Amino acid sequence: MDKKIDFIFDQLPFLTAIALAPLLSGLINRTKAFYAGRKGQPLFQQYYDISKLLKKGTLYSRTTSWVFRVSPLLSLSVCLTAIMFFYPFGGVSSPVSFAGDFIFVAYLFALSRFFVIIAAMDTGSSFEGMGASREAFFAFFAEAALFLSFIAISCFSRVPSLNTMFSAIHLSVQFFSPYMLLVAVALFIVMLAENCRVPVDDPNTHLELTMIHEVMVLDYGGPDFAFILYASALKLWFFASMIVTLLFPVKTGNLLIDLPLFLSGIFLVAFAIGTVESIMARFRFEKVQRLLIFAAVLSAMSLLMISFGGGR
Amino acid sequence: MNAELFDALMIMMFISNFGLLSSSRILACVSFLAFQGIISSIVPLTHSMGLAPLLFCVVIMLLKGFIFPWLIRRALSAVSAKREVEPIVGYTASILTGLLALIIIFICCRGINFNREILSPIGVPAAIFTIFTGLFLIVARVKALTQVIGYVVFENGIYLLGASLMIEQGFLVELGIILDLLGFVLIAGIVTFHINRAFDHIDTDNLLASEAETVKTKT
Repeated sequence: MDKKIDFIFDQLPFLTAIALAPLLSGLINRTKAFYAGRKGQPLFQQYYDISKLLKKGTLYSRTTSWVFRVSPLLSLSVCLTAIMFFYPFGGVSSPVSFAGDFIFVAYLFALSRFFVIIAAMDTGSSFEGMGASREAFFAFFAEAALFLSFIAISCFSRVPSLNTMFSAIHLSVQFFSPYMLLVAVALFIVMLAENCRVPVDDPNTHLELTMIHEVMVLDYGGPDFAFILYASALKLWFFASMIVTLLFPVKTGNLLIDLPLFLSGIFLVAFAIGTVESIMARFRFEKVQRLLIFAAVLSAMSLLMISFGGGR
Repeated sequence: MNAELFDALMIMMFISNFGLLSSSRILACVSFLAFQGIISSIVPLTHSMGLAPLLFCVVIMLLKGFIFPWLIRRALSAVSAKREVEPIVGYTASILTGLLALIIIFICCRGINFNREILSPIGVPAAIFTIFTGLFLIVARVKALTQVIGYVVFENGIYLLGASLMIEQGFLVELGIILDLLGFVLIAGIVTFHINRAFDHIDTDNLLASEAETVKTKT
């Protein structure tokens, strides 16, 4: 019996992620409603959406092939696997971990993006092809920033795997190291780009000129769309938890203290995203590219300073 | 503590340099310039505290953070130029050039032996990168006013180099330089105004062509 409880405690980061990930979008929407002076949708709206969609049937266009059907499942499984690589609190080791696994995780996301893109092309709609083209273009820059951030963190903490390099950053080693602050800002920008949030893409819009991610999943319905929603929630959770571990590196090793601290950090990140969405407009496409290059420059800067400047 | 503060200031210098390289509006450039001036004026305080350095810091901060930007803004509104900086090298290309330069500067600075104790190993690269940014702005932007901005950024870099090498007597020399700089910015504002009056624009690329034109129309 004890062993079972221990096992559950060890897997708590994973369980929290799969249970609470859809809550983030509710929090973001609530923040936006707060800034707009409205009441906003219920906090658990995305849970309702997902359960409603799961009950529905699906309809596939005759133009589509197996690629279209496999893509939502693949993105969901990719996000679940990625979460298994990174247990951000409690000092527990992740179930899967090896040297250089951050490259693997980055390419997992790339794989899911690849399938989303070719599934969008698979529908034969020129509108979706346009979104796919934009997604591929911006992902190109976001990936550079993501890789440079990972390498910078790995150089800073001197360990090569995703979970250990993040858990090596804690309060006693560094208190708001400026290098990690830079990386956190870069990762925040990458998070906004990867999860189609405001300065890059507007999750609310349904205007063909501005949509990027939303347009690629237009043809999905029912359980497939539920998978996509859930996968994007998990992805947002993954990125948010990276930022939390960089910015609030409080790690006591005790799950019952770490969990509330971590969750409040995650909610703060959601609040920050909501704030950004409320006070900023979407950028012109040309400017988005500059923003992502700026993120890459930030992480490259911290990497240079860590590797050449000693990096305290 | 001082070293951490110094590093944080250096990072802000890096960011303001990239901001200068990437911003498309002259007013945004001027704001970055003011920010950079304030940051660089604080830097000497990280290693020498006292009445003289404090006074010096206040003087530099007033000049670089408030008076220069004010003068440039005034010149800008006087010539009512178009607000864009009109780059010869595009914004994205400028950022990437800056990043490349930063890498080269870091690699080169590792080989330098300064023969003295320095506060942080990133101080000198930050100073040289600021100098690079200033020179790049002078070369790669068309407007006369952006060239003034580039010159002031260039001077910021030299100042930062002295500050990060902790040269104490440098303060006196620096005061002389800043006086020259004040004169330069004043004159540059007037010159820009006159260029604008004579040629209807402050585009330095077309100066020769428009000069020929004016001569032709006069004769």
